Amino acid sequence: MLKKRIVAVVILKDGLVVQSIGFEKYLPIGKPEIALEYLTSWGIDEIIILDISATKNQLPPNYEMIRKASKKCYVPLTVGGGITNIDEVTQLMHVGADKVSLNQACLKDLTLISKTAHIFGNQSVVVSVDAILTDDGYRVYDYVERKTTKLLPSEFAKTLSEEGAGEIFINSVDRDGKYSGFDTKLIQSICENVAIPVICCGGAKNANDFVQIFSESKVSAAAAANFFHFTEHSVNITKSIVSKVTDIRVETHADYKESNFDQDLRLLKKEDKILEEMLYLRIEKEVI
Amino acid sequence: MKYCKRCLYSELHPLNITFDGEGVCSGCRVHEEKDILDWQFRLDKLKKILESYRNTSGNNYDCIIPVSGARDSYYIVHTVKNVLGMNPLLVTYNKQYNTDLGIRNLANLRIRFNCDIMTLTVNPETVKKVTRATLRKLGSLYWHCLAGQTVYPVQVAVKFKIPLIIWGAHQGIDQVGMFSHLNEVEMTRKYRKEHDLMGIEAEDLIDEFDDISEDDVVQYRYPDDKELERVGVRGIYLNNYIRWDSKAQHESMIRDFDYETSLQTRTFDTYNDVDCFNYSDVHDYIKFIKHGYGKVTDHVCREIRLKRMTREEGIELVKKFSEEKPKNLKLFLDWIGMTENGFHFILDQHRNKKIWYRNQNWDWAPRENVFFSDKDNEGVDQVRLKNHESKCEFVLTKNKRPEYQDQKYILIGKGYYK
Repeated sequence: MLKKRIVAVVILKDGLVVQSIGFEKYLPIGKPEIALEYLTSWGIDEIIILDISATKNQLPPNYEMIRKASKKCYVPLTVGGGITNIDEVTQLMHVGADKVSLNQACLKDLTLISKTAHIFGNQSVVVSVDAILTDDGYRVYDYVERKTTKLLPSEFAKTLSEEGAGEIFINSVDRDGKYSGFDTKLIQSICENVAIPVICCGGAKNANDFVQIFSESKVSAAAAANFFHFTEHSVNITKSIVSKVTDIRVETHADYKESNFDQDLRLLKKEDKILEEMLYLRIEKEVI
Repeated sequence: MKYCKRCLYSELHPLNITFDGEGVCSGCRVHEEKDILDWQFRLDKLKKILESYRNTSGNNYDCIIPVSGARDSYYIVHTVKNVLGMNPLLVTYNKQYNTDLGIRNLANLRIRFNCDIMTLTVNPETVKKVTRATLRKLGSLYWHCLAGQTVYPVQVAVKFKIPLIIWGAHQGIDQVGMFSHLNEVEMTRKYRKEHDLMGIEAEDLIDEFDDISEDDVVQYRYPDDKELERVGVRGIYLNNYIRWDSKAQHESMIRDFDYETSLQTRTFDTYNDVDCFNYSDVHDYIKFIKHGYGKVTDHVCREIRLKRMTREEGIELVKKFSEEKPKNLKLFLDWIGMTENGFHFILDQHRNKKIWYRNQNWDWAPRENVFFSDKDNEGVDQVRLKNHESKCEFVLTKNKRPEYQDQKYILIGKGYYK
């Protein structure tokens, strides 16, 4: 069976990496190239860069920024935001993207999926769907118009996969930056409707949420954005915990296999005895 | 240029900043948490963390506290040692630009709190070499201080197997609201590289042109990931657990532990960074050239958010101190061996062209409307905070050694003068 993937989402607003909270509040983090450099060295499986301001500002993707940021990224890189036509997809592929993520483009016109799939293969097309919970159930959300559409996420996902999408990236608007865990019901409804891999996002607080969603749904990959910025080796630690129950890739030298964690999954102190043994090499006293 | 409608930070803040629909910056919004959060609950959380790090064998310290002697050092040591009953090891990186008062404050800290302290003093010739390189590359004479302060505690943690490092306020949270207090952000090498070191790590300084080799940067190198993991090094920030108010905290330290304060060249705050010839002087002047604002803006924003100063009073202070010329430039130039012309030539390479332009006389002048204009005052009243205190005054203590004239950096000082 294929290994499950732990994915990091890097959200960009006006060229700046931000924490996104509920699709409306944004806190400044820093430069994309630094975020990608560290996520890579911490052993992430995949990175998705989403530029949330490009389409709003009617700008094409920022190729220079992607070129610079992808230099230190040695894992598959998906780029989304501002893509409207096949020339832009081609150019992104040339500056370092391995896949593209389409969101707004698919709300208007589905043909870009098949065009991209035809040239670069289905595996290079990730379609990102933002879902919001309404009184009538889940609906697709249009983040540019800030409106709920009539589309059902599960049915929409099926259409997308028939058009040639290689993966579905399902994001919960309600749980964005809320740390309340993944929306299992929503994610499950997508997984049941499509045969292609599904990446879920929105609500992850720590490794427990990854463990839970892998056990409760058939997602191929689970993604988080904000919490990877909070602590040292956040990815290594997440993976050390998830790997105990799910088959995932663990290749970093610092693997935290011997470590213990508290209920928030923050690192705990090792026993004094263990630390003391590390301190000096024990040399027995010479007896003549 | 876009300014926050509440504090005085602009969109050019080097730690980055975002603005919401009302034009209020992310720093102000996160700061509002200080009046909402249940700080007793958060303190209890801190106690629980510290309790789990207490050494049980009696053979080692409980934690490491990085100190400089100024800037919150007293308050952090007081809180961790006296209030929370931990046994800390103090570590300090010798920034080498020490004033007599700085040496005195650090010695007094050591004595009053009865703590062990470890100091790293890098060979001054190496420090000068590194500083020449960082001046050229980044326009910074403080890189070695920031690099040393942020790496030496981690090196000591790894060497002596003391996994917990306790820091004071996280600048990203306090200034620009990079994280919510609830995120309980911890020390990362990522933040250090990006924000403390301005994107340049020790290894990146190795350069034939600057005559810097591997040997010169060895003291500034970060321990390997595996070493951090093996010991389980963690750095936590007290401002996630204690409502941070630097001014009030310093005032209690002046009262209870004889913290000495001093006037500073480029800010009205007499508490922070009084230990250094350059911080509020040459370094801060460079900050003004590079980013269009100085430490005075940081202090003003802090006081506005803590409801002790109005925006208008703040603007006056920023105008008064921002263009203040440094007093200790000659001292720095003599130390590093550089002419004033050379210094300005290098600095001009790092001038922010969004702020400065050459006027008809070929002098640098600020662009029109980069400093506060009437337009920036629109919508200010809607988001104004109600002040608690009508006046924002800083205590100036009596100099403990008035007969001494500060004339040069003190590399290693004798310490305490009664």
